[in-house]
Amino acid sequence: MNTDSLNLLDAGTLARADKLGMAARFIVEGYMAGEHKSPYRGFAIEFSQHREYSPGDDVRHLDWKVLGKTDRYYIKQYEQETNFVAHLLIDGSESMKYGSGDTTKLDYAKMAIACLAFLIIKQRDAVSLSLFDNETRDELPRGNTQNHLFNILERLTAFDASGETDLPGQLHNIAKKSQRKGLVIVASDFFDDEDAILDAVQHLRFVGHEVIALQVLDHDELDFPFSGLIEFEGMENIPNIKTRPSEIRKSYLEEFKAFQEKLEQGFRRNSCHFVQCDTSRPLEDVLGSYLTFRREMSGK
Amino acid sequence: MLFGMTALAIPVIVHLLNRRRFKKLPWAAMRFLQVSLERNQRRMKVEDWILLLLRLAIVALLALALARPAAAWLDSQSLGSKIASSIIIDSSGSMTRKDQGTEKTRFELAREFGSEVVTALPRGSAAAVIFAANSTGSGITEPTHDLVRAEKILSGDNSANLTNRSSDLMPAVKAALASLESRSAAQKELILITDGDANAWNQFESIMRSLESSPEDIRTVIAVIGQSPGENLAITRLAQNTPVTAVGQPVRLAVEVSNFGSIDADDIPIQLIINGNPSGDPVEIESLPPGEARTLTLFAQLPSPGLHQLGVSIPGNDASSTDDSRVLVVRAIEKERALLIDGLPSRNPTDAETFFLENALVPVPPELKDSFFLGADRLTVAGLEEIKDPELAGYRAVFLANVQDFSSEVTNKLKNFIINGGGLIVFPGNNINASWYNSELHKKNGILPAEFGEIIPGENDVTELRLQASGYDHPLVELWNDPGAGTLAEVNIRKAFELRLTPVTGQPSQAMPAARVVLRYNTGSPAVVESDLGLGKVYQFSTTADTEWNNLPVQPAFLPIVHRVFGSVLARGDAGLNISVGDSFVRRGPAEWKNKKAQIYKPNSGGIGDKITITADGDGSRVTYDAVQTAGVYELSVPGMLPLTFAATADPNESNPEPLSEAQIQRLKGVADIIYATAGGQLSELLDRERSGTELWPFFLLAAGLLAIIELFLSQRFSQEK
Repeated sequence: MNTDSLNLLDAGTLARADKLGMAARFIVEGYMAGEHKSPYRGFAIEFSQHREYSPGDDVRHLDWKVLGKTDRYYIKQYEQETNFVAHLLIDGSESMKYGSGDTTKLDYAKMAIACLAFLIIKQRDAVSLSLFDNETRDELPRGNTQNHLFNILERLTAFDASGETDLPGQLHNIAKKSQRKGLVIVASDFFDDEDAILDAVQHLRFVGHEVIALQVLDHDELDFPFSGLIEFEGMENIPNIKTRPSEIRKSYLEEFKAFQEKLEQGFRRNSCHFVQCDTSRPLEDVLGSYLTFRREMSGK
Repeated sequence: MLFGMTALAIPVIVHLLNRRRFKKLPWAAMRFLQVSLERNQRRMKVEDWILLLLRLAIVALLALALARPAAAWLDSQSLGSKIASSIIIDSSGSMTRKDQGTEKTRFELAREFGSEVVTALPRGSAAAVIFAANSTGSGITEPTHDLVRAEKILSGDNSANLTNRSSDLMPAVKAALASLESRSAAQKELILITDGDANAWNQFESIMRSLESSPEDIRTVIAVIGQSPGENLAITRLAQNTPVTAVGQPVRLAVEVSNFGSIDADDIPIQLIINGNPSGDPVEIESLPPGEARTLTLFAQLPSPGLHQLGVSIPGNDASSTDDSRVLVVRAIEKERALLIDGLPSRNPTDAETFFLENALVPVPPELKDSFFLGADRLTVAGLEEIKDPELAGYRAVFLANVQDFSSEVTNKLKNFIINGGGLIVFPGNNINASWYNSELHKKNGILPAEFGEIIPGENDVTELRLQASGYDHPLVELWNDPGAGTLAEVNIRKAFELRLTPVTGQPSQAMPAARVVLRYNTGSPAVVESDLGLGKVYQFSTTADTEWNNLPVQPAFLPIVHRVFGSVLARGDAGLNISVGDSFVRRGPAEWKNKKAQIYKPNSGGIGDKITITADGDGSRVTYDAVQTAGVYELSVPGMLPLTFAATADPNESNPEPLSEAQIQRLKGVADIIYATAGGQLSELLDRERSGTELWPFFLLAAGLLAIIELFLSQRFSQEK
C-alpha cells in the first residue's frame, strides 16, 4: 500500500487526516468506484423531513413527487437509524507484532479496521472500537460522525501490540455489554484456544450479533518456508524453540491446517463470516468480504 | 595415527559450533511449532546421532587409512604391502676389485644383488637406486614407483656410475634415511650393498648414530659383498719434487708403492711412462712385505716445452687395476727469466742488494748462464720506471730488493704484470719507505698481502729471532719436514719487519687478496707471506735479500727457497692440473674464452667429450667441470686453443682392502641386518622373510568412502520435509 502517493493525490486534506485515514479512504473509494453502485447507502438511513432546495444540493435528493404536486423544490432529508452499530475489535496481543516483511499483522489489521470504519461511517452507520489483548486496552463508544472516524484513526495509530491474548474473554465482554444487535468485526490471528473462541462467537450470535472474523496471518505462518538452523523466539512468554524447520514443515502445516479447519467450520456453524487475510495480499479482500456480508444482510 | 584420531574431534566441534549458528527469529505461531517438534523430536535426535556417528566413523577410518596399517595375518598377493626401498650401492674405487675366484667386479655383483631386490619388491612399491661413493650419490636418489627404470639403471650398462672416488657412505646413508622418513609407505627399507671396506665407514660413529636414531619403521639391511681381500699392490703416491720443471732437466718424482696383500711382494717393476710411452727400464723393488709402503725416487726428462703426462705403473695382475698406475700432468719450460730490481745499487757487485738472488736463481758459472733454464736481469729503480709493458711481460717474476718506493705508473705496471700471471717478490731493507709500501702497495692497490710493521726483534726483546724449526705446512717449504733436507732453524735473523696480516673478513676481494703465511719465525710472527692476485702471485718477505739483516742468503736453503718461489709463480698458471677424483676441475682463462663451448674428454672416452660452457669470472673466464669420477688423464679442448690436459688421481685409501672390524660388525648388527651375500637370491630371500602382510588402508579408505555416501544420502533424506 503506497500511502505516500495518497499524500500527493489529496494534499488538501493532509493537514487533517493522518496516513492511516488517507490510506483507508483511498482503498475504500478506489474499491467502490469499481462496484458501480452507490456506496453510501447504509442500513440505518431513514427519511426525516423536507427542506427547501438551495443551490449546491445534490439533485438526486430532490423529492420529485413534491415537485410534481407543488411545483416547489424540496430536498429529502434523512437521519441515522440509531439501532445499528458495528463493533470493531482489534487483537493487540504480542503475536500480532509478527511480520516477515515491512507490514506486521497488527499494521494490516489496523488498516483493515480503518477501512471498514471509514466505509461504515460513510454509510452513516455507527461504529464502536475496542482494542485489546488479554484485557481492553482502549475503546471508543459508538459514533457515526467524521470526528468519530478521526478519533478511531488516532486511537488505531497510537495502538501497539503487547501482552498475551484473551480473545474469547473480549468477545464475551462485547456480548455482555452490547445487548442490542449489531455487527461485530474482529481482526486477530486467532492464535488462542479455538474452542473457547467458538464458544464466545456462539455467545455473540446468541445475543443477536452478526460476526465477521478477519484472521490476519503472515504468509510465513501459512507457508512455513524456513530452512537451516533457526531459533524461534516465542512471543507472549512462550519459550524459544531451536530446530531445523525444514524437517518439521510438513508436520507444522498439518497442525496449522487442522486448526484453521476447526475455526472455519466453527464460524460457519454459527453463520459467521470467517475471512483469512494474508498480509502479503491487498486489503480489497477484506472489504469484499464485508460488502458480501452487507449484500447478504440486505437480501434478508 | 594418534594425530589422525584427534581429527575425530572435528565433527563434534562442528556440531557444537552449529549449535551456536542458529539464526534467531521471533515467531507468533509457536503452538503449532511446539506440537510439531514434540511429535518429531525423538526422530530428529535419533537422526542427529546417526549422522554424528557416521561422521565420526568416516574421520576415524580416514585417520586409520593415513596411518597405513598392515596386517601380518593377511597375506594377499594383489594387495601386498607396498615398500619404499632405498638401495645404496657403494660405487667407490674399492668396488672395482675382483675377488679371488670371481670374474665379476664387486660393483657388478652389487648391481646384480640390487637388481634382485628391485625385482622382488611387491607391486606398487617404490625404489631408489643410489650409487654412492663419498657424496649423496647419483642415480635415482628418491624412491620411484617406476621399478622398470630402477631395474634398468641396475642391469644396464652403468659403468659410468662406478667411480674411483674415495668412499664415505655417510652422506648417502643420511640422505637416503631422510628421504625414506618423508615417505608414507607402510614398510621402508634401507639396503646398503658395499664391500665392507673400512674406508667407506670412516664416519662409522656418525653412520651408527643416524641408523640408531632413524624411525623404527625403516628396516636397514647391509649386504656385504666380496670375500677375503686378494693380493693388491698399489701406487699410493706420485709427486713431482722439482721446483722448476725444465726441458732436458731431470724431473724428480717420488713414487710410493704399498703392499695391501697378505704375502711379500718381490721384484716389483716400476715403469716410468712419459706421455703414455714407457721411458727407460723399470726400476725394481726387491721385496715389499705386506702392509708396508716404500717410496722410490725416479727421474724423468721432458723432451719439449709444454704440458706432459708423467706416469708410473706396476704390473696389474692383482685385485685392483685402478691403483696400478698413477699419472701427473707437469709443464716443462724452455727458459724463463726474472727481473731483479736493486734498491741500493753498488759498484761492487757483491754489495748489490740482488747479488745473492741472482746467484740463487742462476747458480751456474757465467759461461753456462745462457744454457741454464732460468735467467735473471738486474735493473735499478730508474730502469724499472722506464721499462715498457711488452718488455716487462718477457719476465715471469720481478724481485724487489730493498727498493725505497716508485711512481704510481710503475705500481700500475706491476699490478697488470701480476694480474696477467707474473710474480712479484718483495724483500725489504733499511732503504724502504714502509709507510709508502703499506699505503700504496697494500691498502690502495692490494698488491702486498701484508703491512710492514715494527722492526723486530724490539730493543727489549731478548729472544733470538730464527725461522720456525718444524711444522711446515705450506707447499713451498714442506720439503723441510724431511730432516734429510736440512733445516731452516739455523738461519739467523738479526732484523726483520713485523708482517701484519689484514684480518680477512668475508671473501677476499681483488683489492685485498687473502694472505697465506708461508713461513714463520720462532716467535710466531710471519716471516714470509704470499697471496694470489689475478693469474699471478705475490711473495712478501720480512727481511732482506742480502746478508745485511740475516744470513739466509748464505745458507743452503736459500737456493731451493728462491727456486721454489719462482717455480710456484710458474705453476700458478697451471694450478689445478692435478686433482683428486671427485674434485672439481677449475681453470681460469682469458676473457675471450667467455661463453665458448668447450669439450672435456675423459680417460678412455673414445673421443666422445662432455660439452661445457665457459663462464665469465671477473675480467677473465672460468672453466668448471664437476664430473671427475675416474682416475686418469683428461683433456680440455677450447676452440682455437691447444688442448689442455689435466690428471685426476684416486684416493690411495681405496687401495687398502681393510674390512670393517668384528667389533664394528657386531655394533652394526644392533641396528641392521647384516648379510654376507655371495650368491644371488640370498639378499632378496632375507628381505622377503620380513615382508609378509597386507596393507589395510585401501579397505579403510573404501569403508570411509561408502560411509560418506551413506552419510550424504541420509543427511539429504533426513533434511527432507516431514
